[in-house]
Formats: sequence, C-alpha cells, structure tokens
Amino acid sequence: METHQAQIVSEVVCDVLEKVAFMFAEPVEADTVSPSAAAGGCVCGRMTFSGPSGQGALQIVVPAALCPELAANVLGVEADDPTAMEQGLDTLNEMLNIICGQLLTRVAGEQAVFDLSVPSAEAISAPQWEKAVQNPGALAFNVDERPLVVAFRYDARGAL
Amino acid sequence: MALNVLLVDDSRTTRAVIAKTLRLAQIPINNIYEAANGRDALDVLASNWIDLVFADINMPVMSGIELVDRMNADGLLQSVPVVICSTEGSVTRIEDLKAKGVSGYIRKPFTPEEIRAVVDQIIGGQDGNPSSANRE
Repeated sequence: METHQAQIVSEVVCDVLEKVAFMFAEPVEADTVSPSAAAGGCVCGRMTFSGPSGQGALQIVVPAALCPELAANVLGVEADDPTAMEQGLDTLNEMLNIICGQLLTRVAGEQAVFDLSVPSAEAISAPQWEKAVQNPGALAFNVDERPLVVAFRYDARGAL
Repeated sequence: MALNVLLVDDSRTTRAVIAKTLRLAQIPINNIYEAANGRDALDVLASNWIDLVFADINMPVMSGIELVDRMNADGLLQSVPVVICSTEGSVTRIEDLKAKGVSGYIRKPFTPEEIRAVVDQIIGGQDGNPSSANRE
C-alpha cells in the first residue's frame, strides 16, 4: 500500500472507530502484533467493491473477543450482554461497510460510483491470522489493547 | 403525530442504533418496524401503515435503490417518504437517488442531530404535521 493511501486508511479507521464505537485506535507496526492475540480465536471480515473508477477489496482481521466489545460500545450495553455477544460479527461487518464507504470517497473522490458487496465475517485459523498480519500491505492498530489489522486494495485502472 | 417508522438495513446493529437515535432525538414514535432487505420491507409496507422509511442501499436480496424503484411504481407507496441511510458518499449516486424522489440522505456514521434535522424537514418541523411527504 502506498504511503499516501496508507495514511488515508489509518485516518479513516481511527475516525470511524472513534465516531461509531467510541474506541480509540492507535496505529502500530504490524511486527509488534503478538501471535498470542489469536489464542482465543480470530475473525476476518471482507468486502469487495467495483465500478467504472476501479475495483478492490477491504479486509479487517481481529481477535474474536474484540467483536462483542465493538457491539457493546456501538449499542451502549455491557460487553458480556447477550446482545453484544450475539451481534459481534454483525457489528464488525457494519464497521467494515462504513470504513469502506469512507475510504472510497477519500481515495476515488466524491463523483466515483461503486457497487459494494455485502460484508462477510468468519472465523479464521491461527495460520490465517499470521498470514494476514504479515501481509506487507496490512496496517495494524491497537484498539483497547487488542490488535486490529486492515488490508485495503484499490486498483483505479480496474485490472486486479 | 407519532410516526410509524420502518428501518431497512441488513445489519441488526445498525437498525438498533437508528432506533435508539430516533428516541434520543426525541422524535415522536408510535411503532418501529424492521426489515433486513428491500423485499422484506415491501412485505412490511404491504401490511402496515408506515409514515417514514429509513433504508440502507447495500443489502442482500433487494437493495435500497430497488426498494425505492418498487415503491415509486406502487400508487399506494410512492408517497411514503424514504430517507437513505448509507455508507456511500458518491455525489453522483446521491443525485441519482434524489432524482428518484428520496426525501433525504444520511451518511453513516451519523449523529442524532442529523437524524433529527432530516425528520424535521420531512414531517414539517415542530408542528408534527407531515407536509412534504410526497416524493413525486
């Protein structure tokens, strides 16, 4: 990911987490993310987009334990509230959706039109977590002492 | 007049947040109905009196844009105001939606003030009388 684009991704991720979930994301080097963060299971959310201006994808990988915390903050309930436990993946998907929408405006401009896929989140294995963290294009963040790893790919020429 | 509001979004979390925001904004609400996509929304609209619809664009089964098209093609539904509540920020798409007659556009993430402002605009401010409800 080029430096300018990485800066935009970083700003958008921090801004959306703060506005939607009242959580502060701090950018960190990916190699500081501890492999033990995946010990309790981890989740990967993905979505794609395409349009006349280009196409690409957005991926967010987090420890599974972060999902109910996100939901709790968004919904204004305790993290161990059954609603938060139940809606963790749904909330991660909506975060992905909001971040993707904001990123596309910043990267491609306000005139560009994209069709966005429906976000989808699923559990991933520890090796998949390692691969996502070690992706050279990935950006890592510390969110309330838990890692969040984002990969954004945008091809303005439409030739993925 | 208390409103019957339909929230159309595939995210249950977002539907809950909009419902909470409507209450925080002190908008008079009678009932809040929910649907996870445009198809389900049409079913709710067919069997309930709805004063205002909040709809996402990007949903499985039937998108918010197709929902608006289907409502515009229905003589009974074309006057129900629709507010699009989406992550998309494309000016081109927003202009297309306005041309289809949507009553308002709110970009996620939103604030209670933004929700209040768009509802006030649609229902006619403090008097609570729907005044500019027609989308055509």
